[in-house]
Amino acid sequence: MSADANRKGPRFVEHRAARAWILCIMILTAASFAAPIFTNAESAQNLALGATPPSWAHLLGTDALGRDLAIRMLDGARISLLIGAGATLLSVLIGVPYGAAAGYFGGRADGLLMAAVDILYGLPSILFVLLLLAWFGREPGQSMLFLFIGLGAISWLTTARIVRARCLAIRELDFVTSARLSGVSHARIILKHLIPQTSGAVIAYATLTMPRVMMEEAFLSFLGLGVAPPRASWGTLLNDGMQSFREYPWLVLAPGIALAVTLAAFYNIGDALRDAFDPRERPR
Amino acid sequence: MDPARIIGKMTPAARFWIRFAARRAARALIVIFIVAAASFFLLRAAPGGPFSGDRALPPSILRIVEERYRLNDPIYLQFFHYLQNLLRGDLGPSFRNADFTVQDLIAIGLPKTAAIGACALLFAIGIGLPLGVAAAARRSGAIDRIAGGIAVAGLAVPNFVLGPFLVMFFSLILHWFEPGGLEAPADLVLPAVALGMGPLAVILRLARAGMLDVLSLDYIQFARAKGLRERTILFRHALPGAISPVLTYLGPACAAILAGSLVVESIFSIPGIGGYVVRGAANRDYPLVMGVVLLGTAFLVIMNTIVDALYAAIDPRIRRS
Repeated sequence: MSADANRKGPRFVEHRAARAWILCIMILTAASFAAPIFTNAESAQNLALGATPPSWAHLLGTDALGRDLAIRMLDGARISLLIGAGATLLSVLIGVPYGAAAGYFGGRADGLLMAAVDILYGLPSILFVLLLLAWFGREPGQSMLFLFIGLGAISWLTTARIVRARCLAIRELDFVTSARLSGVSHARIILKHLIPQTSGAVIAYATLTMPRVMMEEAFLSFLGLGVAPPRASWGTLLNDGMQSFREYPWLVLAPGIALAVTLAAFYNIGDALRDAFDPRERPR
Repeated sequence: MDPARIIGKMTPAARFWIRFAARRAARALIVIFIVAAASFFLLRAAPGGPFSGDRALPPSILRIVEERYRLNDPIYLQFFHYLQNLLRGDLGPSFRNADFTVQDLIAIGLPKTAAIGACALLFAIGIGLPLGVAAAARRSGAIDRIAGGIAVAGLAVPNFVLGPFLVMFFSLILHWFEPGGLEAPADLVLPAVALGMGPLAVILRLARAGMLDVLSLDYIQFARAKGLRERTILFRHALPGAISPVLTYLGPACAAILAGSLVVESIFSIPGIGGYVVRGAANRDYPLVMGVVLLGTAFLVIMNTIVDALYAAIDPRIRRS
């Protein structure tokens, strides 16, 4: 356990490919947040222009309403990343205390808490998607907030399992016993002693949760349930592009490739982090 | 003869299987009940009713319609009534497709959805498993590199991106397949590939990792030392020990395929269950959505049970514990 912990730092830094992918993500994030400063005018509709293939004036072409696709993609990246990060954060905020409590108390409490997780695993998350569809099928307003909550609420299960497994092992260690003996409360032990010990695994898994959440968001947006227009995420752009992809293939190619590359980047970084923090954890 | 004595006379294995079946049946009923209750009440709590759509009905007619579908009963009575019908296998009438019961609609759509799903699963296992084994057999070889690429691409390219790309390349440029519809068996190919690619990548990874673990064990060294053929070692000796993570994943794989069929059916214009559900949910067609959700849940519960049974059949240690 502690031997693994000591190896964390150097092994990840040595991972060249992961460093390159992190750079890609940082550039994408910076570009997407900087985009509105420079490009306000160009994202406007231009019906006279209509859909044009990529050119020097519009690097990724324009859509049927004459909007510059590159700018819409950057706007979409901002929303996809925000929703991904928000939902991932929520999944960590639910999963870590839940798993830590189960692992720390053990016994019957653990059995009960984990039985609930098992049952939730068995339920199709498609059920949740359908309920979202039912709720927002008509008025896709306030959808950003609900996307955060909904996607976060279905992504915490594996985090809880990982944290629980760690805490089961850690709670047997001497420093926990000594804290117990000196009268530290359960809540304080979990917060101050157990959870920090699991941070490596949690960060690694959160990096793997992020692309999963972004994919779910794109999936929902593709079904027309995601963020409401005129806002667009990559999923919405894909859905829009699908309506006319025989005539204007670039409208599907660009968001599709961008989504795939970004997801690949997160998966690679997450794998590298997991290798660094814990060689034993395998993807499910 | 009393039941306790019959059980006492059985072999341990038979006793295990009876306990397994009983426990799994109980758990399945609990899960289906929870899903039925959750979706029933959540659907009804959603804003808007089935008949408050764009074209408002005159109040007198609305009352008759609501009476007919018992929408004015207290909600717990409605739920009780639904469960009663469910036990008889009756999923109720569709609110928005007059003259159709939910069973009718499912009977129309299910064969198409099931055909695509089954092909996708066969594709994922049929390619993913052998490729994973081959990749592990020659570690860092050419096949391993290709498999690594497929594993990353399969995870990173979602089915709703792969689908349009496949149509673009194989239908619009190469003209090998129809871009949509489901008339000939060949029309199954593109949807099945789009749907199966993600699960294929996971199966490949799991099979490869499991094989690498097992191939370093002593009994494989011993088999090599005996001079057995490499293929016999890989498939007869190593694979059974390496396959359990792949089996475990088959449950989640079915769930992924089920969810993916929602978008894949719309991309390839296939009139399966997915379309009903998306429209039904938007229209507040409660019985239709419930019926499909329960069907999906029952399917997943059955798949998970089969997987666990296979697991116990392969590994005797699980039966003992």
